[in-house]
Amino acid sequence: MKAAAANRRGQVARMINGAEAMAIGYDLAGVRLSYSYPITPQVEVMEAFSRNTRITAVQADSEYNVLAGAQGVAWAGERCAVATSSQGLILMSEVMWEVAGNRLPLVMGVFNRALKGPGWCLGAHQNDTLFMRDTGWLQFYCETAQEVLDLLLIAFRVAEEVSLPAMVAGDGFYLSHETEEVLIPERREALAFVGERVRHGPPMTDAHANYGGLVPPARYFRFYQRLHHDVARAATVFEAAAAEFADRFGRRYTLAAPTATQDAECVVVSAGTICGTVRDVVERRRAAGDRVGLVKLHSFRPFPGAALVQAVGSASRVIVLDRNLAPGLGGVFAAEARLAFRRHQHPATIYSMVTGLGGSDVTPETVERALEFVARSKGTPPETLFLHEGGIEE
Amino acid sequence: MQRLAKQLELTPFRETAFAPGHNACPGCGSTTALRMVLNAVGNRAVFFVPASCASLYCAPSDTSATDVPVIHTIFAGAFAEAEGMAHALRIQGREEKVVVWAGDGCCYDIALGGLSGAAARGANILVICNDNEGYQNTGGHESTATPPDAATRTGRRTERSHGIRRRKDLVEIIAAHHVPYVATACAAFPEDLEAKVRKAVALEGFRMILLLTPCVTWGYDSRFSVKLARLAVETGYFPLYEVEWGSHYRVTQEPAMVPLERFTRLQRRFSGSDVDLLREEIAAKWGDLRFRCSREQAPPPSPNAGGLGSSCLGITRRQTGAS
Amino acid sequence: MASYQPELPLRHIASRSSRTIKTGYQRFERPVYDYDTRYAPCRAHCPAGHDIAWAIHLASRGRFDLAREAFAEESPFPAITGRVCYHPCEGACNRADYDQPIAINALERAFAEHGAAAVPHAVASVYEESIGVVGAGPAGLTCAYHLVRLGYPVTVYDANPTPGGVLAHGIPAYRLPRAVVAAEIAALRAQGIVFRCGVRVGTDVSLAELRERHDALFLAPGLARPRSLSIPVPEDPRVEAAIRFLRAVAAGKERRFSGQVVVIGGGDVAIDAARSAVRLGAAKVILCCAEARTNMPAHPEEVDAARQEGIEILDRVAPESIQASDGGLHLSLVAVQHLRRGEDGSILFDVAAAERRVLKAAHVLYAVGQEADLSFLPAPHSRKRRLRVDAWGQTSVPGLFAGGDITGTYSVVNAISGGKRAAIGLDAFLRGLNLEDAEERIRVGPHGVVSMRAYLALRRGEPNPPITRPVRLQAINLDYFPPAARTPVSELGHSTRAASFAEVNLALSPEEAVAEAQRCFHCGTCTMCGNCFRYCPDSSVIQLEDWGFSIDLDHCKGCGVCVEECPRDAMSMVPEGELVREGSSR
Repeated sequence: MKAAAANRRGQVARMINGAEAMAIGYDLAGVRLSYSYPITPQVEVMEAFSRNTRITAVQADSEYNVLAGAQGVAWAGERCAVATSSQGLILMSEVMWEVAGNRLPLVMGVFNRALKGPGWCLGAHQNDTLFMRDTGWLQFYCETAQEVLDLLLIAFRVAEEVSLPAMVAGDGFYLSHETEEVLIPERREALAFVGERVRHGPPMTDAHANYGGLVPPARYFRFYQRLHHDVARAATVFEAAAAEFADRFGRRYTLAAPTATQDAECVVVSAGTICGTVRDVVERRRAAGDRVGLVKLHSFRPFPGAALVQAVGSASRVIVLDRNLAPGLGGVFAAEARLAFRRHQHPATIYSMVTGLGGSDVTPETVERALEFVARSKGTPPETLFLHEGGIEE
Repeated sequence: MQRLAKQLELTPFRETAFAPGHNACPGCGSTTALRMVLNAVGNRAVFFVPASCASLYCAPSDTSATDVPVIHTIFAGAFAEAEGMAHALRIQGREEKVVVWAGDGCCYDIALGGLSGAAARGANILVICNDNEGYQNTGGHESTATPPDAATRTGRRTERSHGIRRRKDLVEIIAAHHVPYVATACAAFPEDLEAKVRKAVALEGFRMILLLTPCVTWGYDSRFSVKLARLAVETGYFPLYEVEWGSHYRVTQEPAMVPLERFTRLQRRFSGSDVDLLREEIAAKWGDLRFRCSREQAPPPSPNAGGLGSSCLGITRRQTGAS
Repeated sequence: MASYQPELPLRHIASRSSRTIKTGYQRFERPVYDYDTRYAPCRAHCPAGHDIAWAIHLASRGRFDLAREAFAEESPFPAITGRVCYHPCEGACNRADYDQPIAINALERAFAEHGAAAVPHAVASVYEESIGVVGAGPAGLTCAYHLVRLGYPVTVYDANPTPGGVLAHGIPAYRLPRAVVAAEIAALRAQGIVFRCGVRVGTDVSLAELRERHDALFLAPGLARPRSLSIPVPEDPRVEAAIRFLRAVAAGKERRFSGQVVVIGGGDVAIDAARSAVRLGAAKVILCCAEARTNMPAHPEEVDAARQEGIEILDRVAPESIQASDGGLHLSLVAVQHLRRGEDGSILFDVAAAERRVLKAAHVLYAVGQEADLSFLPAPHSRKRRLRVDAWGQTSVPGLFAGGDITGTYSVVNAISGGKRAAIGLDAFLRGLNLEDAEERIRVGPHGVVSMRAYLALRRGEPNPPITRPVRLQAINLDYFPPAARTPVSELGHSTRAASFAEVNLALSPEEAVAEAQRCFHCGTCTMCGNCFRYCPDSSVIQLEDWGFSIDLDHCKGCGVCVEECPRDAMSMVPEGELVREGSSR
């Protein structure tokens, strides 16, 4: 990381957790208002907002109205900090569609947490954010507290350029509560990167208009056609913003980030904190001569299919580790990856492994087990495999 | 008779706020009231409109009937959206007033929590509840604002509710939040309505005006929509009053207390209804209202008194420093 | 395959005005402002044709001057009619059936009293044809007034030394102060009417001479001759015709009474004589009439006022004889049965001789009717008691018009009506206009009332629509009119009354007049209250440049709220018919 050292200009290293990193990210983006409602494990973000004297922290009566309130702020062309988790996010569902349909570039931080299906379970689990797949929100996933901060700043740039809202997600507790060293950019630099804070749009400039009233079906169709293209376009915008970010701050992000994939025979694909564990295993295995690699997905929407396929290179086996489950389908990232590989005519065999649900631990041993299973496996694998402490099952 | 209007110093009637061409039903009671509200609020405002007939009639066929920006929202989100915008406008130093035009289904039912939240937080918004006593946009379905024993598309309120028949008393619920201003009004008393809207607009913090807006789904001849609003007041069915800071009550229009049948007989929804149930409700409401009006109280805090920002806006608000 | 078009809109913004969408096609009925075709019942019952509802509306806004002008459009002297008119309008007032009628008569006087009259200015004659008017009473003055306004030079002849007729020489000053009459006549003079007073037609100038001098004549000499009692009347100065007595009083001749005065007659003249006698010192005044008290020809208010002033009324009696002696007069009265009217208006009855009583009197004044002196007319008219005229005042002789009491009108306001009709008749005669067609354009209601304003509009070639539809109480939106008591007219105290001829009825104060005017429904007028505008759910009422509103038929959905909320029936809904498609965007 020579470049990183060269670009540390003014950045200060602090030992903080992901929640603090998220709050700092919003502050650096110049927000003056925050909307939140207490929920574990997001509360530490909310507490940080309330400690920040530059921010008017509004505690709404529900997450539903957190997002509604934030939307109102966005209508005025003002940035707003919003953070939530789990049930809170699901409660926002109705508003999520409206925010995206109104093309308001909100950026929301989410610490993923399991949903109350069979019972309460507070651990990391990505189904809350993935539930929002079709709303039109961009979704970025983080491995570290540093990424939470950095991707938040980049997300503002992307969201405001393509006029779409974005979520920056990280695994609850693993990321929200564990402390690590984070390089915090200088305030002026960060603001210069994110750009003009207030952008007055038509509601404040076009007095006679109605916004979001009844839309004729044919126009409704076209709005979604455009929204679709803009989500896709966000990938290019991300890469450009990430390049500028790297110039300023020395950390280079890409939607599908490869580690040791050049000559890999087997590549693990995942998103979130699992990638850290996988990276350790990959480095160890590489040292032992195994040709394994990792592709970390930073984004679910836009889904970087081409970048993923390219990053995987010539590997013939791809393991997708999903901390989420679409019952009846399998891992959600794996399903999207399968489509990408088919679309780009890559012949690799895809192993979809659902793991770490409810925040259950995904240890190096768990990852090793997956690699071993794939190394031994012959023929077409089962569509979905469940990888847990006890082993691998269909 | 030349220039007679000038000789008599008549002020010309002005209409800039609400254009024709909208698709409300003939004789719509709520568009009349909306016109009055829009005119009284003025054009330095932003309106939020949650799902309702107004989602259609403010923006018919891809056009705009209003002279102010109207942001259409999902059913339960309007109050918070408006609040968020009000916060942003304050921070930006802008002067636009933020107004929500919401139906009774929204205020009484689906978004009561959000309404209460906005009130409790002292959201700097004016909420106008367009109360037509039911989900009329869906064709005439019961809400908790529907009067006892009134017929709806799904039967009579009395038949299906056990025990509680009265209309939910939204004004009292909001007044109990000790907000600066809550009032009732209707289009049949335009001066009263205008005065209340102007008063509310000039105040800071959370304000609500409950408007009774007769709806043709009540089953009346379209020409009666203003007359019914007037009779609602004059029979005591809909008291016109205001509450400041949750404790200072004032009846702004003493009803003539004409026979209730003059109101009910014009509407099919009350055909075959037990009007005595309504009478009981009205008597109870007035008993309560008279009591509240008569209580001795310390004078209400001046709306311009200092500390409103911190005491009324129920939020943690710190000095916004350089950023 | 077409590629992605980035010009697709980002978000749904509707900024084109909805005004471009036409919603009028939804209408089955449309509202119309048809108040031009309506009349308030008061107007249809006002022989002078005053647009009362409109004038009172102007007054309700504090503009007595404009209200006075509105009255002056139809008649010459509201200060006089505001005092002496027996106000049939009030009997027809819609408000009478709600609480109490509007005090129209008192308001008319208030307009005259508080409303600055326009400075009278001479109206330039536009025509060469001159018109002679015989008789400067209410009919003659009215006719002259309208004719001058129509553009004719007018000369008025009167036998009395001053103009005014009954107004100046008959009606006592406590009802109509002389100064009021003088001021109104001065205004007429200023307008350009030429007066030739002290000229008795037939004596000082012949009718033939007048016909030579003028292109047309209007005869309204009034009924100058008192009708005689049907019993022998002693030649005694203590027995006198009431009109001669009143004339003398009006002329300022000092008269004092003592003892008991008996007045014979039940009409307004009898009451005037009786009330005047009270003021001239009579110890007691008894009024004897053949009619039942409830059925006296005099106006009930006058009868009430007389009784309040202590006058005793003996009804259903007739004089049988009057005996004069040095000690006084003895009037023998018999009871009356089977009272009826003769063809000429005289009363006929049987007597029940058994019921007889004798009154002692210091003076007897009799008022049993008056007769015309038509001796100046050529035979056979010279022997007639009345002149027969057509609807526009024309006698059987072309160019010879007549009005007032000689045509059988009997009241000031009816005289005004006759004078106005004759003015229209004379104009039509001189200009060769056909009034048969015109009548429907100028008539107000079914009682023969005509509007001079409408006639002037018709002459300008801008005819008004026929005024055919009465406004009834059911059409008034009473929600806008809470019950309110009629403003009482203040009166002079009784002790003051007996001692002088000071005016008994006091004028409404400006504040009282405004309050009373605000009680008025203003039936069938547009007062610009703006209800139609304010309550339209479709913003489809357009304010006209000066007065009134119109309907934006492109957008009006025909809900009818405007018509329902019009407080005073100035609008109605009419079936859409053919216009359904015109108002449609489809």
